[in-house]
Amino acid sequence: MSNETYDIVIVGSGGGGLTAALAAAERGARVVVVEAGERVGGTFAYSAGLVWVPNNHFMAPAGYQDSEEEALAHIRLLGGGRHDEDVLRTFIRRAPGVIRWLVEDLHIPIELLGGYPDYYSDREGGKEGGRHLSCRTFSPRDELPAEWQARLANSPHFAGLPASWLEIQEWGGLASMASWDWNEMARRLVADHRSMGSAIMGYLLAACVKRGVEIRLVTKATELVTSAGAVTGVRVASGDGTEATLSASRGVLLATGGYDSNDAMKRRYDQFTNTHGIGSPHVDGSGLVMALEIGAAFQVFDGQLTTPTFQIPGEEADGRPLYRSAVREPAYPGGIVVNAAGHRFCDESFYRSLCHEMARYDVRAQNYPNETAYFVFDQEWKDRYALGPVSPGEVPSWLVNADSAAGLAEKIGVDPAALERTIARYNADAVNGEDPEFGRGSTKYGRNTGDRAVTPNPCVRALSGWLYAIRLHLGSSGTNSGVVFDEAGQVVHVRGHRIPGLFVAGNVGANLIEGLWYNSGVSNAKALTFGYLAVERLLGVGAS
Amino acid sequence: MPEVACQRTIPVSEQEIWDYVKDMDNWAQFIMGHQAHELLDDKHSVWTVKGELGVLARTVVFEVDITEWIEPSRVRFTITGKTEQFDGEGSFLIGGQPDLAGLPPKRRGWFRRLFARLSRRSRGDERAPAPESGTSFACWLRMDARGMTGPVVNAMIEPLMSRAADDLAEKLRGAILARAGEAESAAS
Repeated sequence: MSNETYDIVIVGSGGGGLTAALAAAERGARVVVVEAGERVGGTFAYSAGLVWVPNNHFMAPAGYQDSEEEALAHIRLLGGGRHDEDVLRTFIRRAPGVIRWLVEDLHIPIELLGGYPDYYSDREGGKEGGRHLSCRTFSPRDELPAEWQARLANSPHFAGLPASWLEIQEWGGLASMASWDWNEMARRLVADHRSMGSAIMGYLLAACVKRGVEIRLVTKATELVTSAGAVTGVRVASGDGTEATLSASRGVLLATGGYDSNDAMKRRYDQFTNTHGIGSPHVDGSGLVMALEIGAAFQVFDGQLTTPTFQIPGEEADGRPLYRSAVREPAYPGGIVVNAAGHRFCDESFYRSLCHEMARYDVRAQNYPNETAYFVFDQEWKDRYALGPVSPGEVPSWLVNADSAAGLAEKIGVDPAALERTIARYNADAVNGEDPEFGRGSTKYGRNTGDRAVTPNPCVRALSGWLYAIRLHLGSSGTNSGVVFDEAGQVVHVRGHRIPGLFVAGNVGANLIEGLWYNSGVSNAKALTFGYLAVERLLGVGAS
Repeated sequence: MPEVACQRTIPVSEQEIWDYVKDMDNWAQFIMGHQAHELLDDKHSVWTVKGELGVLARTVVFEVDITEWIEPSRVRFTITGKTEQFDGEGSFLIGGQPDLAGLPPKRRGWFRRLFARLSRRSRGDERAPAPESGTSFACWLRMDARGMTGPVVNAMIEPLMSRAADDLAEKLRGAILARAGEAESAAS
């Protein structure tokens, strides 16, 4: 077994891993990134690429007011008391600087996503815009050497949408897909342009290649090497079975993601386990296992980062069924979600409400009453909006439909009378744009997700005419439980002390910033931020 | 809209090629991603094919309707998506003049020009390396995804069609040659 020595060994090539690699390379450290998969990017590349950073440097010039105190108050209020105050404070204080470094020093074209509200913008410290950042599209052919162009992971969720978030906003938003510039996107697709998370990962990869960062693909970290309680390296196995020890004179950073594609670990750690991994299939909890093996503390949180999804029969990615995100679709007016009993159970305009209710366990009935859920929508919805890649108006043969609520209910196995009553009750208030039962469109986030062309409530319209239904499933894009770490990402031992030489960035770490709160872009932001902060401490530099 | 053409020459007779390809069960499994096919009658069939569209794979069901059946030299057909919004048309030409005569008019894109050139070369009309003697067969296919995402889907399926057409032509050539060899062995 060969033994090679570096200053820092990074396991995982997602946003946290490559940001750390760049921070180390910029300071002249010898760094290597090992990646189990054939492509760079991890779950970050599969994501929508949003990055949530309060008080970022784009905000003030664009007229958005914010402060560290407001962001802290917001998360303290909503985190259920489960965050770590030191970790949270450090994140809020340092994340804007990390973004500024990425933009100004590394020239990553991150941009402000203007009016994208916080999920809880109406609560203390919440903002109606300015905290979300995204990235321009990325052209591997223009930015990467030939040998790296095919080694950048692309998201099956966004591969057919080579457009930036800002462009999508300019084209009318997600509810107006029919007006998007599909010919321009086709041109970009032929040229292999990337968007969303894959675009940010492309720019990070290009920066790494430019700086000569060593990245080893198809190289699986199997075990941490320790000496006197300190982590001194990693054992790895390459695709041909060759094993090696990579010694790390400064330490090891685990940026391996959570365990969302590992069903056995989900059964062990989570209450609701019937989720489908929608991120990188290589995010299998291997980093967690290595950290736990040497005594890392593990913190249990609220299951997984779930997303409502639907499946187009026969569609696959990464050798498994592809579950497509349905975050937006249930929020558009003219649709509701019902359970197997034919009852509504949540505010469908806020996907977190939908997900949590789908995963809720009823201890009186001893079952998950909303696990079997159907998104029901009417003809006008079908004519106006896209269902994933299904165009407005298009009715594929697999899409269940009927000319009445009773007829639809019979086809999906729901009590016909119950569904008729549910729709009638919903419609009685919906004609006035109201949903007193569950509050569709009652939040800024919900209204932003709906169709702004519909008034007075962008999320509410009575259902009428021909009806359609599709089964919803819960997808998992990350996990909340994970390794305990401190304000620089250093791993904490189960006995309370810091483990020398071992750091984490991203979802391998527990939700110590956010507790039980969440906002889109937080996972990506903490990956970038703690990748950077870990390197500062590993190299004994910086402000942390 | 994506369009693909390919052509091969095989040292067998026109009739031998026809005898093989006229029965779709002989070559259906050669279609990249073939999952199933069902013959509805002598002119209509339904196919299920799984295609790799970039990073995702999708299974599509489509109907093939034969619009022209001229034994032993020409088959023309149309394609209609049953699970997706797309349609298309194509042809399969054997021997003789495998040129543009079998293709629909008013479409002289670069594929058609390339196709015509390949055909002329196979007949020795141009200065080119001496072609393999025998009978040529040629496939041509045009597809068009409709709807809002049509332009993007067309961009995604074009490389897939190219790979699939070349793969099919090569496998057909191999299978027909193998059958001819078996027949020769049996006769001798």
